[in-house]
Amino acid sequence: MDATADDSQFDLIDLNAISLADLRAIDGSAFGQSLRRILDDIDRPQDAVAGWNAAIG
Amino acid sequence: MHGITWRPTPFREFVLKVHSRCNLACDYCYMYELADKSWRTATAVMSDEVLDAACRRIAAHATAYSIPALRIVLHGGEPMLLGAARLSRVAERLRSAAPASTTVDVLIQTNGVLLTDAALAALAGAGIRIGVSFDGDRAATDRHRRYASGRSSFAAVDAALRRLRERPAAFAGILSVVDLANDPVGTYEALLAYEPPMVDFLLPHANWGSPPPGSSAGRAPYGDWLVAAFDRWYGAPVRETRVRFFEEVLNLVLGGQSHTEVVGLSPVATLVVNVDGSYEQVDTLRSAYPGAVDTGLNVFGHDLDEALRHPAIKARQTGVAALSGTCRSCTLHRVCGGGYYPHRYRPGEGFRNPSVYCADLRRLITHAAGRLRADVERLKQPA
Repeated sequence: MDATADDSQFDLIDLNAISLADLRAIDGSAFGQSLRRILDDIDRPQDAVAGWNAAIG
Repeated sequence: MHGITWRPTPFREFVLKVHSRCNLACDYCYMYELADKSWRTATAVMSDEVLDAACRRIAAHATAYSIPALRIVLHGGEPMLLGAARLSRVAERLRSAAPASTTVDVLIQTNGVLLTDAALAALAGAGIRIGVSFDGDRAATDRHRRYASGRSSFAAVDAALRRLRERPAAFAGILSVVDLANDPVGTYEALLAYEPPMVDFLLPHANWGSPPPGSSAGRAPYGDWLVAAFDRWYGAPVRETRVRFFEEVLNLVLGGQSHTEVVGLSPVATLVVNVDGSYEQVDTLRSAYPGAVDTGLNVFGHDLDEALRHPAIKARQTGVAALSGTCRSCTLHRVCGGGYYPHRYRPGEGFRNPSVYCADLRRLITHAAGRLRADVERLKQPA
C-alpha cells in the first residue's frame, strides 16, 4: 500500500492551470493520450455508459 | 433503492450467448467452474427462433430510443463452436434488423483455438471484430487455460494470435486474467508481442465468500501486480497499446467518465440474452451464487423496457446511490465506483459492500494518480 494513501484527501487532478494548446501539444505517451482523451470527453456530450468487462474491443 | 430518482439508460450493448458449451476447461471460468452450474442443463446452441426474436427486440429498442450505435458481443461458452459461417450469418441478421440510423458493431470474444485462416477470413469478411482471451506466455496460459484432457491450449492460441496480428482491422484485443504467479511485466510484454490494439487485465472472480487466491488482510497483492504492469505501460515513451483498466482509471482521476463496468459510476447499459432467449444481467455475476443473473424475462414474452425496469438492472444504473455506506464515505469511490459489482457480493448480505479487491483498487488508483499528478505538475512548470 502507498504510505501516503489517504482516502479522505483524495482529489481529482485539476488541469485548469494548463493551456489547451499545451495539452494538445503533448506527446504520444500514455500520459499524453490520457490528456487527449479527457479533452475529447469535454468536447462530447457526457453520456458515457459502462460496457461489459468480459469482452474487449 | 427507495426514494432514488432514477432515469433509465437504454441498453446499448447486448451479449448474445450463441453457444453454451466450451472446448476448453479453464479452471477459473465463471460459466462452468464457479457458483452457478446452470450450464449443465442449458440448451447448447441459440436457435433461429431465439435469434430472430432477439433481433426484433433489439431493433425495437434502438428505434424507440433513437440509439445511434449498438455493440453486440457474440459470446458463449465458446462462440466459435457455432462456426465462422454461422456467426457471419448471425451478424448479418443483427445488422439487417437494426434501424438504418443505428450502426451495429459486432464482436466475438473467443478462446482462440478455432481461429483458423479460413475462419478469420470469414469473420473479417463479415465485419466481426475478434477479442481473444489469453493469459500471456506458455507458462501463464498452461496454468489455467487447458483442454478438459489437460492438454495445453497455448500452441493453438499463439498461432491464432499471430494470424490476427496480420489482420489489425479485425483484431479487437486480448483479455488476460491476473494470476499472482505470473510476472506482471513479462505478462504485459508477452501480450504486446501480438500487437493487439488493446489489452485488459481482469481480476479473478472472487467475493467476500470466496476471496481471491493469495489475498490476505492488510495486503494488496493484486494492486501490487497491477502497479508493476501499469508502470511498464505508462513509462513507455510512446503508448504501445491501450490497456483498458489503466486508461479508465486515468480518465476518472482527471474527472472524466468510465466506459467500463469495472471502475467508475457510469450506468451499466448491457443486457445478456442467454442461449434459450432469457434476459440476464451481466453473466459474470454467476460467480456469486446460483441464479444471480436471472431476471425471469425473455425475448418471447417481454420487451426490453421490462428488462430496463428490473430492480437488478436498475441497481446498476443508479451510480453512487447503489454503493455501500463505507464506499460513499470514501472519496476514492468517484474513481473506483465501488469496484466491479460481482466482487462486492457477501453471502447473506448481497452487493452493498466494498469490493473484495478494495485494497488492491486503492493501491492501483493512488499510484496511477500519483504518477499522473507528477506529470501534470511538470507540465505546469514554465519551460
